[in-house]
Amino acid sequence: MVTINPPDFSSRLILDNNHHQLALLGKWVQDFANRCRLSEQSSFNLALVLTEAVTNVMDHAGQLEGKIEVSCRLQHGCILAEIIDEGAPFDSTVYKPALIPEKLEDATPGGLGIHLMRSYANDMQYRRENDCNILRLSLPI
Amino acid sequence: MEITSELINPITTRIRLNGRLDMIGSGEIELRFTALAATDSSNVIVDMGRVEFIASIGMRLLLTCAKAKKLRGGKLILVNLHTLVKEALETAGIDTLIPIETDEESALIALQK
Repeated sequence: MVTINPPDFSSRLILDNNHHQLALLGKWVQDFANRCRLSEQSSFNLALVLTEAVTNVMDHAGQLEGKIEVSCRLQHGCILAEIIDEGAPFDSTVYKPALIPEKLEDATPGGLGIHLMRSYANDMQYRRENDCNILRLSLPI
Repeated sequence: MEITSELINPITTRIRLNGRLDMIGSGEIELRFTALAATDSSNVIVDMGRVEFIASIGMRLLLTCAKAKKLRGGKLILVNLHTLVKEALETAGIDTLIPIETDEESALIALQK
């Protein structure tokens, strides 16, 4: 795990494609939130969105041997986050939101992650560039 | 992630969770939580007072166990949720499927209905 902290409200984290690295992601988000003096709510929301986004990469990127790059910065009253990976093409923005069933008996556990990302982020943009998936998220501060 | 359990009355068990219900935390407790929460018809009150974070995988674990509990004729209720954890469950719509009460006392009253 490599953390890069330029002398402004931005930070970059490089992760291996390994679910155990999600613990490091949580600590990195907390560190970023502390440096930027984000509210507990903003910190939680950012941690949740990035956890879901990075988990999706790890689950859907196929045999990803490269790294997963996560970056955050503050800009224009928003938190801008970007996740870059070299895995198989995967665009989470095209998935339909999970339908909430009326009864517990009808509930299926899938689809919650992307639904949470869409709910907490006020913008999600995907592009494929140089054989990389690039997901950009914007969250309110 | 830590998990403890205690029999409150002959048909109700309190399960206390402590930590983060993310992928690692959920994985650490999944087997024991499922065994405690989903394998018979007794009721379960899950004290979430020390759960500071929940991701979709944690929600999936709660949902799976609540569903299994209901199929066996019991109820699973969440109590003492932190505001942000409760909001996350509400955002995911989980609150419409798994009962959430303020505290254990309220949950015990709800179980009598």
